[in-house]
Amino acid sequence: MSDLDEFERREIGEDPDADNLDIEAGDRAERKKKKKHRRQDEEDEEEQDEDEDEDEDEDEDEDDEDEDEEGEGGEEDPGEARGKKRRKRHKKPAVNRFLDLVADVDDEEDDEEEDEEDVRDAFFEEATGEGDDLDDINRRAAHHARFDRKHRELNDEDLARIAQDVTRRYRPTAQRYTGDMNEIPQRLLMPSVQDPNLWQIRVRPGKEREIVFALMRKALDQEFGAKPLEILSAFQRDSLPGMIYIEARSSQQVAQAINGLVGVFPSRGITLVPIEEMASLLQIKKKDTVVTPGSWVRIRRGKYGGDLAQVIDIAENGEEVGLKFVPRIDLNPKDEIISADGKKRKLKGAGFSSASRPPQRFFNYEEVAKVYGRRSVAKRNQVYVFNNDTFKDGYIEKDFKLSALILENVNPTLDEIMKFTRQEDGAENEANVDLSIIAEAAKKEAIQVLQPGDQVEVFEGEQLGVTGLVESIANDVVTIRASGVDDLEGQKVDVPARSVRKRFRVGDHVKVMSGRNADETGLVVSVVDNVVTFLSDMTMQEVSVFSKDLREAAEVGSSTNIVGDYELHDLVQLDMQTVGVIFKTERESFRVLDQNGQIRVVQPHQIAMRRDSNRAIATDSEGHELRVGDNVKEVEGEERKGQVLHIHQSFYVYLYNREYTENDGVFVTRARILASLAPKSNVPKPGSVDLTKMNPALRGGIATGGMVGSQMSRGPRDPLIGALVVIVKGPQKGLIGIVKDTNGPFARVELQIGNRVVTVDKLKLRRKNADGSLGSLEKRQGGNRMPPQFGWGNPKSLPFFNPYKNNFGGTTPAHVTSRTPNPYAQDSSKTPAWGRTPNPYVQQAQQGGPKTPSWNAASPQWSRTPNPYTRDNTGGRTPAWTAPNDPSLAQGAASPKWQSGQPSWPAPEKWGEPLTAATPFTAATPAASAPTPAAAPVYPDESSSTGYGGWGGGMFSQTPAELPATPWAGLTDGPADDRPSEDMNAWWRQGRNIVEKMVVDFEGTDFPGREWLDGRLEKKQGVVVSVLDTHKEDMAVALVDILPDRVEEHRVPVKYLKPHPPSAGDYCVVFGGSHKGLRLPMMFRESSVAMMDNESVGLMAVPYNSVSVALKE
Amino acid sequence: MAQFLESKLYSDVEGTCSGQFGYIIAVVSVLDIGKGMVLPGSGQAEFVTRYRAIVFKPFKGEVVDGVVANVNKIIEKNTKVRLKIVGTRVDATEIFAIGTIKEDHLGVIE
Repeated sequence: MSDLDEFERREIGEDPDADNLDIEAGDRAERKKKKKHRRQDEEDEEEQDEDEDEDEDEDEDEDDEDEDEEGEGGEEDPGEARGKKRRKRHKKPAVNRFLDLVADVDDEEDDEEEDEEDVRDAFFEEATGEGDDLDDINRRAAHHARFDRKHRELNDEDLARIAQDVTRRYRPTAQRYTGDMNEIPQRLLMPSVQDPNLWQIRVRPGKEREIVFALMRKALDQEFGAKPLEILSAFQRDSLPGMIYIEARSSQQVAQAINGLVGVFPSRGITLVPIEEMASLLQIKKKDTVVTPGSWVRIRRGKYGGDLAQVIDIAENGEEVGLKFVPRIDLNPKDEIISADGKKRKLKGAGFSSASRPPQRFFNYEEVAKVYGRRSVAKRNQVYVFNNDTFKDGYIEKDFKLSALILENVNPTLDEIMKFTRQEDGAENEANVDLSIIAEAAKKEAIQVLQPGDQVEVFEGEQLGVTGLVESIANDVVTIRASGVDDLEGQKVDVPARSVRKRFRVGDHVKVMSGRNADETGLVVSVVDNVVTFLSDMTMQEVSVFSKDLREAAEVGSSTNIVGDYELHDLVQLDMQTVGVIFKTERESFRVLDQNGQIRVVQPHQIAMRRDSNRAIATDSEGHELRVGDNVKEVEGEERKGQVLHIHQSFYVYLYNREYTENDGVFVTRARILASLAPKSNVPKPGSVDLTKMNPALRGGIATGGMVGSQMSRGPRDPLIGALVVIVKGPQKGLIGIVKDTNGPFARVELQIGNRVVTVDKLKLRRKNADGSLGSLEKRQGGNRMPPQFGWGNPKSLPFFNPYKNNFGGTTPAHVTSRTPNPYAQDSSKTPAWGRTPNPYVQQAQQGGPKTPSWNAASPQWSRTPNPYTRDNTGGRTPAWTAPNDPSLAQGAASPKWQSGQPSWPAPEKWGEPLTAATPFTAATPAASAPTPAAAPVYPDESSSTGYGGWGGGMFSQTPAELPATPWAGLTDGPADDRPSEDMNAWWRQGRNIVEKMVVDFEGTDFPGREWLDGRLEKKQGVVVSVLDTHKEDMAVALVDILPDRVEEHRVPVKYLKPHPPSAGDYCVVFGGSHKGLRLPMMFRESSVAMMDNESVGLMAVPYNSVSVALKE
Repeated sequence: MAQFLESKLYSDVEGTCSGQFGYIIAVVSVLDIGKGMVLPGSGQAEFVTRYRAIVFKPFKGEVVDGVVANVNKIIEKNTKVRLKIVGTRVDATEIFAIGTIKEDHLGVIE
């Protein structure tokens, strides 16, 4: 077998016996088809005396060769026609192979065939002028066969030479045959620098072909003129819309050639195609033209753009295919038809120009005739002709050019295919859906959608019927842990991915992962093979989807809360006057409660923007401040309670209470009729003075940490105001100015130069000291940093201040305490406000007298700071203060922890406490009234979730704990949100930015009964590449590269993965708490707090258990 | 007082649905009204009350009788059917169940 044969075979398909037209090259098919009729006759005749022993392969080779000859020879000269013909008849087997003609039966029905042939081959005989004698024919055929063989041998010998000849002769155009060429000539064919160049020109998309033809006409037209076109060739590729390619020596010639052609954009450049890309440009993708009758295609543009169509036949030239699809006839044409004369024109206009195209609808003679008049619809046999289109059985049948069709990635949906299941009588019949076509395509994708942990069943092959859990997937092989089959129970079975499918049972709650119904959830009502029908939760409609698109849904009812860019409970702007809160998401629409209490159904595009009310405040009925997240109730009307979701214009407050069924718990009310809820205020505290009772205002605020409004007004001026600062970053870097005002993280700075006031991020500011040195901004902020600013209750608005920073350099710890967020502390027991704050100092107050130890902390620094609340330092050494080392002094609550801490740096250990504390805030009140020791017992317990203990103890014993305003707020961010614990466990939920490159440990993979990969990876580390979040731990899967070499990649259920705890110096990612998402190196760890090195603010404390090692890169 | 509490309980509780217990159909008896506690800061009082109630919570596999309320095919509205629950979904305030009538002894009942 020569190389050529080999090559040819590859062309046709890997398997020479493949009985399949699909893999045939497009133009080859065309050519064959053209000759089909002619050949068939000859071949049938030939069949009878064909050498039976002749090897099939050989046979094929032979005619491939013929084919080749033909191809290369192009338009053969007439003299050769006869020989050609003779050779051609060998084609038959190959053609048959692909076209499935009757020839297969020939061998068995020789006699019959012979008789028939006499008649059928009349034309052939006429042409050859030979008799109709059977023997004669036989003889002649045998003769031919012999000649043919001889000829072939000859060919084999100097094939290379011929090929080269041809190459030389047809070089410019020979590239067309790239696919047909033997390897040697192919290499020679590669363009070199001597060859003309290929130029790419932009044209109007869709017009490529036309333009190429126009060029050809132009070339022919001017060929013998004064200025013939100097281009050598022009072509376009369907795969590259909007471009044509012209072969020419220079761009000048190209420009000349395209000059004057409409739809060409020479202004967009005539680009030279690099030589090495020229060949690939001309390569024919074999799959391009795989169109077989019955296959699905989509129409590319026009009225039916995007519609699914079924191929019914293919034109002989292969350029056009006959399609069948559901018509879109406008039954409400805009233009009234007045006369039969003008009808046609108008119809056309109406049909194609309407912006909104008519819906898909089966052709109905009565309807159409009614609208357009009987004369417009003609009936021929079973077919209607209307508007030059043919309609059969309700479908339209129309010829389309291949270029106007989308052949790949058609992905017909079930719904669409259902439309093609109408029977002749017009009745819909679901039973006869041939799902095999889509199923086949679906199978290919199925491999990609399998995830470890999926319930699957094997539906074909040896393991038919086995069900189990997917353990791992390697290429196309899925390892399944079988279940439900007695003798296989628990065993691992390897099966090809294409023969398994996801398994669902009736009653399962599922979610659609992809496709048109994506994100729909529902209960499965029936499963037929790989089609699952479920009842949607949202619409209560039945939806049928492929099982490959489904996953078992997470918790019940946890349908997606995100549509477009908007999420459940977002405050959105609907129009200038109206805002609303999304209280329900449906597929592609929301239900929104606007500020007037009206419910609207809106679609994402109707929403102007999302509004952020995180910083919004309002005043409640008692004059207190109201913030997002506060728990409040109405004081009049229905007295509903709820958590503040959003505040709009300080007037409307959106509340949420899941116990209300109306509007899914969201309601809107006015801020003026709200009062804060203080759930803890009614907890009896025997034996203690309940300070809270002294101040009605107290009842507000504590529970949520929301600060009462009065504090706001009484709050001191930001000490920063008036400070001389230097801008150290940004465009104004280096400029000096005076702070005029502060607003959250920003400061308005009056520059010394230019007399301008600019707003600058505080992080970009440094205080300019008298000696010219620069210092940290907050250094002297001191106790003035008011909680309302940094918010006990609303830590979200917190800028990151480094709590520890101030502690360095040996400032007394006490100094720091002076930053207690609570200014009212000064008059501890008397001020009601005192008790109100969830402030540990309260305890001290009771213990150590009215003067809180911390308060009195007399540090040099402190006195420097002009703090309005500072009292003189008379209190001097309160126990806590004086005894950083002596727990007994600090308080009866001698906390062991405290002792263990170093005097200079006692804080960190305790810092952790508030972190683990689940709800410090709610515990705050008791702190106020409870005898201090209460805090202490809890205190040593690191893992204590009482929060209260944590707080009391933490703060208390470590006076140095310093400005709680900052660290606390930061640290307690989580707890306040009631979310931290979730954060820690659900690291994989944190989104791509966080989990990517995170280093994780494999844990639990060797746990008996739930092993995964035999525990092979246990204790190993991996790097998360991505996470497929299904909102359910059991189902979520992470794509993990196994360390250290990252060669292995696994899809691992997240339950086997734990964030890798960092050690000092590791590069980390914070995946929980308020600093979530930060990536920075860890400096050291103190108990449950990790100290991170943050470039902009220095050291930063984050909970250790919310930090994981991450890869840097 | 007790009277009021009882009627309050009926109105508040009957006809509601919780994920834990299902639909509370009717309160049968009040076991213990409990000591009321006045909520500080408001005039309201809280009574932790124990009561006995008939609840309905569908379970998987349960066979129940029902009336057709919504139809998409075959069956007529208001037909009485007997069906077996094959799947449930519990929301905060509602319980959804999918049932089948494709089994012996299930389907339309006179």
